[in-house]
Amino acid sequence: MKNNLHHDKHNLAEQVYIANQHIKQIQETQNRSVVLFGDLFAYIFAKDKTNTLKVELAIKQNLNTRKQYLRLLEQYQFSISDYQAAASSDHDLNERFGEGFTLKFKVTKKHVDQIYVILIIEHSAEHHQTDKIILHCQLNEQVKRVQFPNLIDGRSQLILEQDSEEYQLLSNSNAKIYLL
Amino acid sequence: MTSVITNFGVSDELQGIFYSLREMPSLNNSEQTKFKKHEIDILSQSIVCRNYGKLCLELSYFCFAVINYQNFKKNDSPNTRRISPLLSYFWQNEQLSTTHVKAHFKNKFSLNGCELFLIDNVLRINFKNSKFDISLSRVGLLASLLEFIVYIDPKVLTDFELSLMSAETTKIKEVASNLQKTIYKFLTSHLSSAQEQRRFRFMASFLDNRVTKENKLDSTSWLTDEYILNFWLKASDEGNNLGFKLFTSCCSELVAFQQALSVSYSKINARSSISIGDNIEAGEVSADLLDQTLMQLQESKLEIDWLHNKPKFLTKNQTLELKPILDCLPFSKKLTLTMARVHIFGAWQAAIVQATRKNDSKLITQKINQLPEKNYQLFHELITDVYQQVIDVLWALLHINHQHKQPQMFTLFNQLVTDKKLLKDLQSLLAQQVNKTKVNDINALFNEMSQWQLKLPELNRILKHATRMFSANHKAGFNALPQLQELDIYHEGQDLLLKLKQELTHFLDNLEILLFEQSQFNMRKDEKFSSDTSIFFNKLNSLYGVSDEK
Repeated sequence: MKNNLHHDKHNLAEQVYIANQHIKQIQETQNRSVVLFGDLFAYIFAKDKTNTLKVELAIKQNLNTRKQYLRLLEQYQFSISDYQAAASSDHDLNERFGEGFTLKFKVTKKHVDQIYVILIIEHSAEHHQTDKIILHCQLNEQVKRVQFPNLIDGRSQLILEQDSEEYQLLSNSNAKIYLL
Repeated sequence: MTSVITNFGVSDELQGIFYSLREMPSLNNSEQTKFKKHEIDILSQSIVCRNYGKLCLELSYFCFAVINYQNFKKNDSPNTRRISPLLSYFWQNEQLSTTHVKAHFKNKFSLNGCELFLIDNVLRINFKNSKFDISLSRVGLLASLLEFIVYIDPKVLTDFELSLMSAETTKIKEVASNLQKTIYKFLTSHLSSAQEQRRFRFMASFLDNRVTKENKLDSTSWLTDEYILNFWLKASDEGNNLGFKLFTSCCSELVAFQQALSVSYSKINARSSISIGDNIEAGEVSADLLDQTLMQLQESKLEIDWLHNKPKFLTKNQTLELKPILDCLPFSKKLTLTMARVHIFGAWQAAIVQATRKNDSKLITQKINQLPEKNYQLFHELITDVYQQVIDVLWALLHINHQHKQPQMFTLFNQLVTDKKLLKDLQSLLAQQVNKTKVNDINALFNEMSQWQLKLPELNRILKHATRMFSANHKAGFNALPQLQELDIYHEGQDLLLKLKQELTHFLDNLEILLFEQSQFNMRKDEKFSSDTSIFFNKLNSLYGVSDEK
């Protein structure tokens, strides 16, 4: 009996030691490799602070994450702009149409590398007038989030660099745009 | 290579999950994280101890409640788009705090003979023949478990909604048991005990060879400065692949080993002395017992990392300097020499290891020959400085408490004021005041204070000193008087600093005795240090030294 008890103590001690070492590893880790569902959610609603690139990378590289992301966008979108069929393929779009919203792209004369992007929403929701407006653009495994200021008189605008990923995606006729 | 081996226990992916859980932003409040620190601590402990059975059951019942309750509410407003109830509850609306849960489930609800209602801070689910209670304060923890499970099995949300809709208890239990299986399967490739087990057994057999059985049971007798040094001298060769090459690691591992032994012995002794049929079968430790014992161990730790955030009680360097001492509690005051060795020779070894990574033999030789500049006296000065900083911050906190008329000021008074007569005088004034007003009116008490300052010039001087210490502190959170509503964190910091003060007082006392003894026994003040230096030099040279023939 006494021996047994000693054995138990030793056994418990060993397991406590092991578990404690594991806890220490977990507490001290700085491993940022994992993107959780909640991180995706925060990214979609632009509530992530430092994770943006990490989440975009995960969507790009991980099929499951991308599927979850697109499913969430389908659920939470206010409207979408699908592939723009009529556009000529070798040219960026001048404007693109979504269900109830339009995006116009205008080049400034002085700075040709800068593009004015104008967003017009016909029947907007209340949050479009009070909060920043969030758009997600997706083309295959590439995704990017763009934020416009809230609508004033049904319009909002933004300046993007011509070679920015955001502009490239927004103006690509094959990309899909989700308006939240 | 060693880092791969030592990191083996918890897979990178599992570590990453917990890192993301801890850092996950809140959708409602950009200042906060989605989960509270203690929620993730509890979750990680349950996972590591493989003690998640009850949690899975609670989560299944709670999801049952969310799905069916939501369903009932949706009938009121058929126009809203159908969003998955779990998605909307746990992510979109983040209803995780007690207040949120209460607000969400405020109406009693029944469905097919099952009732759902709030009572005494629990959510009760009544079935025909059984009931289940979920404590409202555990919802955040359950949400973190759900986040964990969704990561390892993305389709779980849809599965839940299909199987838990109008489910019976047997179905809910089945869902819980499937969850357990999912986690179990995931952990088989992400949580490995092999390396830690080898490490434990190495330390245990080393102990067996050195110490008689009686001594081992007297849990504090064998862990000495000498034992740790001898262990390192031996284990750095033999236990190289076990992560015993660094002196610092040997010290922290042996302390962790001893902590595990002592907490387990006391736990099992307590259990067997009660002996109410709670038998532990030989070789089999229940997950629950493990979890409880580990909890006991975790609770005894002092975590000071957050003290360098805002408000900045201490600098980051200061918290880092204290870390080895605090990690070794409650043994650090007994191991003062080891703590000094870790600080000085541990740093030396780290510099050499750094050089070996660059594979530059000249640099390695240079680092080995670069004997430490610090000695034990300087280590003492360094810890004394940090101690003084702790005291100074406590004075600044006294000022803050005084300005805001906080009763916590009196705790600080007792801890900081050494003038016994003043304390006695103040106590009698306090007693008179309490007698006079008959109620514990803290405001009235503080109003009297200015009168007392006139009566007791020492009191006046003390308060002036506190003000001066506050004004001299320019760190974040102390450069202006904080608002009343911000004080919680200051009080939390105060409690921790007081514990720190106590530990450091003991530690410094023992360190001073050690240094005094060394100066008594040896001709030269630094003789002990010199002999230690040569012990370490020889060992480091044999571990890392580059032979000339190469």
